[in-house]
Amino acid sequence: MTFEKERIRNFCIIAHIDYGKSTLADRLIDETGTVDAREMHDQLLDTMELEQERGITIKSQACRMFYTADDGKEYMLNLIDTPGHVDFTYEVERSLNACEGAVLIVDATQGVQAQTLANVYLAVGQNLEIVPVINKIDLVSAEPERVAQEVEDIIGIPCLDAPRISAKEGINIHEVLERIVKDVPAPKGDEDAPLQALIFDSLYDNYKGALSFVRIVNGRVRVGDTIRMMHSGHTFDVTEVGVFTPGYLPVEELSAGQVGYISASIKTVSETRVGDTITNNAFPADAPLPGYKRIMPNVYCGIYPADGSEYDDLRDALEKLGLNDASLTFEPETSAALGYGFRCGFLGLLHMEIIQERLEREFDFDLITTAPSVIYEVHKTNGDVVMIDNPANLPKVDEIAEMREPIVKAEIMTPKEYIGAIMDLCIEKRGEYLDMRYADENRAVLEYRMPLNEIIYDFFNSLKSRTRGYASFDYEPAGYQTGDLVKLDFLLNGDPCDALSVIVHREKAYAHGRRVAEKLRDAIPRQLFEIPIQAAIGGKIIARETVKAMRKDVLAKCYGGDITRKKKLLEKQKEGKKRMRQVGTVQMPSEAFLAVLKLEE
Amino acid sequence: MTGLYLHIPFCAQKCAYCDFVSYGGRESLLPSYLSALKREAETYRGEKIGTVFFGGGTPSLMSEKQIEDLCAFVRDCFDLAPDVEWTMEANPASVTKEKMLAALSGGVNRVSLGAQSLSDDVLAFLGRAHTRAQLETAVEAVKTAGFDKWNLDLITALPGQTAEAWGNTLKEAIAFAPTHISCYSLICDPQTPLGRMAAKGEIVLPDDEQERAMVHLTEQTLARAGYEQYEISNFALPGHACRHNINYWECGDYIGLGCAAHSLFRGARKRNTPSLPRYLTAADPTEETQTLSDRDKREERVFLGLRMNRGVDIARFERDFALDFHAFYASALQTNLDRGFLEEAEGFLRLTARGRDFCDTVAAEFMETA
Repeated sequence: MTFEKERIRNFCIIAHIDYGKSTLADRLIDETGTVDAREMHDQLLDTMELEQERGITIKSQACRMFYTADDGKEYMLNLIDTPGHVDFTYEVERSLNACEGAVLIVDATQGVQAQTLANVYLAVGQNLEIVPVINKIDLVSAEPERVAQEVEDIIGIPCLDAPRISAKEGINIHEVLERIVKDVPAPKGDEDAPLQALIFDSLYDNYKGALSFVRIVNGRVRVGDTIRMMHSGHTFDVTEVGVFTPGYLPVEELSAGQVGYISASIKTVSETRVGDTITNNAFPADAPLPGYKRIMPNVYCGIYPADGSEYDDLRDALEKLGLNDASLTFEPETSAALGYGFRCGFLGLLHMEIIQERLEREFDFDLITTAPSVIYEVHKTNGDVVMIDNPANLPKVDEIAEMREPIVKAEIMTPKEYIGAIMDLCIEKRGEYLDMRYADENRAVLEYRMPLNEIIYDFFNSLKSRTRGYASFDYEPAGYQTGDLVKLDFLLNGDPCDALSVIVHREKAYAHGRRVAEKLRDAIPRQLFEIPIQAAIGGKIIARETVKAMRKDVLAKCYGGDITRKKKLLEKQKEGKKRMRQVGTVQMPSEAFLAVLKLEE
Repeated sequence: MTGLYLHIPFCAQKCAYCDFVSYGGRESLLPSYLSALKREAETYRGEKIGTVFFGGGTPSLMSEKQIEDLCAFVRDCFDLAPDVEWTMEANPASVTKEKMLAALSGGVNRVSLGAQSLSDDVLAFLGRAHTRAQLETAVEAVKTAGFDKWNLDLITALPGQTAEAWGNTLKEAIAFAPTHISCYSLICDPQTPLGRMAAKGEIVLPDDEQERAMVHLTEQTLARAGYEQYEISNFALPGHACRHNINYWECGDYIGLGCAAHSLFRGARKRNTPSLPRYLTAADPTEETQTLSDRDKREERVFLGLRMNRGVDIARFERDFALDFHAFYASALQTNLDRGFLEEAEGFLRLTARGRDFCDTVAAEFMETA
């Protein structure tokens, strides 16, 4: 398909999570008549149930629209919807890379929010043209003038003449389209140069295999071409190329400046990694496009089926999710307490939560998850170095010469009134102050070096609650450093429960041990004997709680009319016991394992 | 022998802890209710009956005439055994000597008095319709009418109750010289007024330790006074255990008549509608019928049998189910014998004194869940 590059516009939408990003996307699709009204349903682009519910986009989506502008010419508009969370920053970056412009949605009632800023700066950093629009002008509390001024002050882009719109009510959507045509530059690139296509996302399709979502930067691609992934080196024969409408529409050819998908009988998304460059195997480009990173999991946890017999089903489910998520890793592991399960690796905590939720919702599992862990570098006395992502595998104390933990460089952007609160939080989390600078007169950027294992325990939640949601946060790996780390074990009636062990900083061990012991005391039901719960470092007990022995389990009355109900209760009692995990002599309900993951009050 | 239960779902007022099907202040419906009851009974005309129980609700709300009439109907409709045990529940507030005489001459030979407490404060708190003085009058009426078998119902483990106060209640109860005493630990169903008060923290129930202390005190005190415990909550002078209730725990047949009544008859459990209007108008008041499988029967035989001090009759079990009891329950038996919760003697499997505190734990382990 040929279409003059001058009449192509590739853009994305940047918005605070609930600022109507999907609503605007739907309106644009609507206004350009891309989708028949019959097929329209709200928030067309957020396809996963989970995405709709959380109001966040996990996978990138895209849609091609044709729009005849006021100048009488027809334009091809490619909207790329980006993921929206710090765990997926890399994906966001790649998606932005595929665009020349970004529509920035600003809420006329709220002004600019921190979460939006992080992505705006990312877009500015990629030299994207920002097209601000002021949304929700239909609300009585809307203050478009004040908000427009705020955008100019904070972001430093012209905004006073930005379209005033209501995505919900469909007001002034036409004006947004005009701005996109006028302000977003046409793509550059050479159709006749060797193929360079940026993979900005990938998706597993049951019929087509793993699809590469691409922006063609140079050259062209069509069915029958042999393509090569420049970083992984894999080669494939193209079986289909197409565009998003937002469904799949096969086309003859994709050429420089265009956005679409390539299907090439690729078995899993891990063979078509985000950020990789696709070239033509016979006529290859000299070099891949810049910016590729092989993203590695940095948070691990054990995932076990609550019902041990569902182990194989859980593996099938993880494999299915893995088809579509190159960042998810999993390997079988066994736990004395939990039986057979998987050690899973994630990009971050949100990624972990999303996978757990999808397993529970889409695959209907009851899961037990262990406390998240980072990867520790353990130097042994015999000179070996081992990487440990599971506290249970930590060598014995006398075999450890040195323990090193992953460090990140964290950047926290915040309105200035929360600087004190954030500094307190970072100190609590063993952060090392690096720098503070002002982004403008009201906003500061704080830089800290922090151990990653402090961040994976409710740092994000604490940050949000202490700054009423205004602070945004991003981090990047910054190597390893020696830490005074200990393995904290929990003993139930004298028997250690491997699934509860964590690696923590020595100074935090006491508070953590006490807190978990208290949680366990409340979560473990009384049993026929008293259960001491002990937190221990090595052989040393640092906290103790007790679950008192059960004193009675007998119903006072049972006559003719009570028998059926009573029998059901006894059946339930037996069922409940069967679902409990045996740790030594103690019966542990699944909830007890979950309780210790949520340590905040 | 089959038991016969007739439910009288009317009370002068509803008690604060009551989760039974009973209607307060609707006695005007009694005549039509009794007609419906007879209509239902007709479907069982001629059945051989070993025990009869008028329960409630408050059967003593019936007038002398209604009592006479219902008794006559029961004698006419059913084939009563010569040694039939025939109990009528009575609330002290509605007991009169005349009603007692009417019952006795109608064939009733056992009365169960719902005393619940002997203190006016506690009675008021429980929402009972009677006073201590009325209880004394009622006991007198029962005795002078000539009943030689009668029960006193008591509730223990009440909010704020001390072991000492409960000990005194027991002593006073024994002084009335009933032949049978039932002592129930208070069950606070969340749907009842007491349950709601407990949920809101307005009352504090005894904890498990305190409750057990009172229960153990009950067992000791009554044993010393000659009352043998024969079920978790039931005590009787020798020869005075309630045969009608034992029949439930031995999984015998029983016909339950009336609103919300349950039957177990010829292998099927039947539950009547709990709705009074529906019971009065429906041609067939049955709401649910369930045919018991062998597994149901086995499970009920064990969990009900264990409630009795005598225990589960092993030979009868093996005969009825053609199973080797010890092999069939090997693991549950071993676990609970080891814990000291069970013992086996004279062909019966029964709970030990300690095991009685954990009756449900033991019973659950005998359930055959897949």
